[in-house]
Amino acid sequence: MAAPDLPDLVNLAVPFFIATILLELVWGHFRGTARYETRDTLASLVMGGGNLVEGMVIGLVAVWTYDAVYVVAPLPFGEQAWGWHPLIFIACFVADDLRYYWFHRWSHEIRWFWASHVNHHSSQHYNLSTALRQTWTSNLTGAFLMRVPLVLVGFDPLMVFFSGSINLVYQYWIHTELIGRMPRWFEAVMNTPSHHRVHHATNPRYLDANYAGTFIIWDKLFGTFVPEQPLADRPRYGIVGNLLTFNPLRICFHEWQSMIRDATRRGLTPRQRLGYLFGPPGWSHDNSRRTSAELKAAYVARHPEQAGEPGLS
Amino acid sequence: MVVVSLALGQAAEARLDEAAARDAFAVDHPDSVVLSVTVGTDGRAALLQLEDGAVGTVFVLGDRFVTRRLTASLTAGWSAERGLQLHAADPKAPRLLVPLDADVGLQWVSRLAKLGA
Repeated sequence: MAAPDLPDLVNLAVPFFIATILLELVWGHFRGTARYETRDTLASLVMGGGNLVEGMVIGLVAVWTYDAVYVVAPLPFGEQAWGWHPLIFIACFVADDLRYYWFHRWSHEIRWFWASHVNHHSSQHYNLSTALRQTWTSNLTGAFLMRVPLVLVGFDPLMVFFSGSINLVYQYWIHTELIGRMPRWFEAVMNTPSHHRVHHATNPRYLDANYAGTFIIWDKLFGTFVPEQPLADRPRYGIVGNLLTFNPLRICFHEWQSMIRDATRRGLTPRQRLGYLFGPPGWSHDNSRRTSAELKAAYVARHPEQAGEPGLS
Repeated sequence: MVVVSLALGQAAEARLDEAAARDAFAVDHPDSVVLSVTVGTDGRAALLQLEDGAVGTVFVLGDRFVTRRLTASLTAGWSAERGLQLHAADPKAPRLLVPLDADVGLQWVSRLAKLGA
């Protein structure tokens, strides 16, 4: 069965992104919410543009890889009459969303991937422009290999890419403070602005939580779901040790620079060097820094009455 | 978009005084006890003497703050034109500038030299 002519969703969505950011800006101005910082917004837009370019250039490696793997897939669905059936597509989308959950989780738990993903979290603001603050180095980490199993199972690489695009575009609208909570049934199943504000927050209880792309069910299934507590613990956005610059080059490469310097410093054992590359962010051979788990433990030590609450157990 | 952002969305740049510096630092470093605060003459940076002998900083970034506990891997210098200059081995904030009156600035250079010693 021939693959349908699928649109390039992300590029098609760019005018929508710009229009809604302007809308949020104007709305926020008159409502006194959704604060924008022009240099922060500009940095996010430059990061978003760079991500598109990186995807077109280095992303070709991913395309070639998937095509090569698809050739050896035992049952390439795209070659079957039912290969593009809506049910196959839904299965592909759900499977890719599960893939995204683990990719995203490892992007926070493994410094090698965090070095790339930290870009997206580097703003202290949380508005629609933050959604566009995307990495330029994702393909360099090799994270694209996490889609190989989907292709090997038999999903057409085009379908896998298209599922990823829908996932990415879906996640755009959840980067806002203008929407409080969605209807309960929606909050139960889908990723929402409330769930994703938690993900972008640096409050100890919110660290390393809510990795979902489209469906929040993965976090509930794998024990990483933390609900937002907007009154008791209002999310503070950014990263632990925020950047003191709006320079896109520094936003893009600062963690790579830190990581390489740490891993190549003198006097370390090979295991310690690997710890700096593949350990959790904040890991250090001399315990001079704190990981998310240690930050949570320190918070619980200061607030023992909150021990056991979501995100602090 | 940038024009609209400048016209409507631009949040006012934050300014530091002693209380704001203490509050901002406490959020990121709740275990640290601040003994004294020196705010830069431009209100965009502050140096904090901490109880454990370490030094903290708070800098303005747009309408937000960026805080650090300074480590020994840092050099401090004084420039009559620019003030206290800190060079840290921190790619997130490698060069820090704190405009200060000369007498205060030179005291901080001396204090920071002990930190790096």
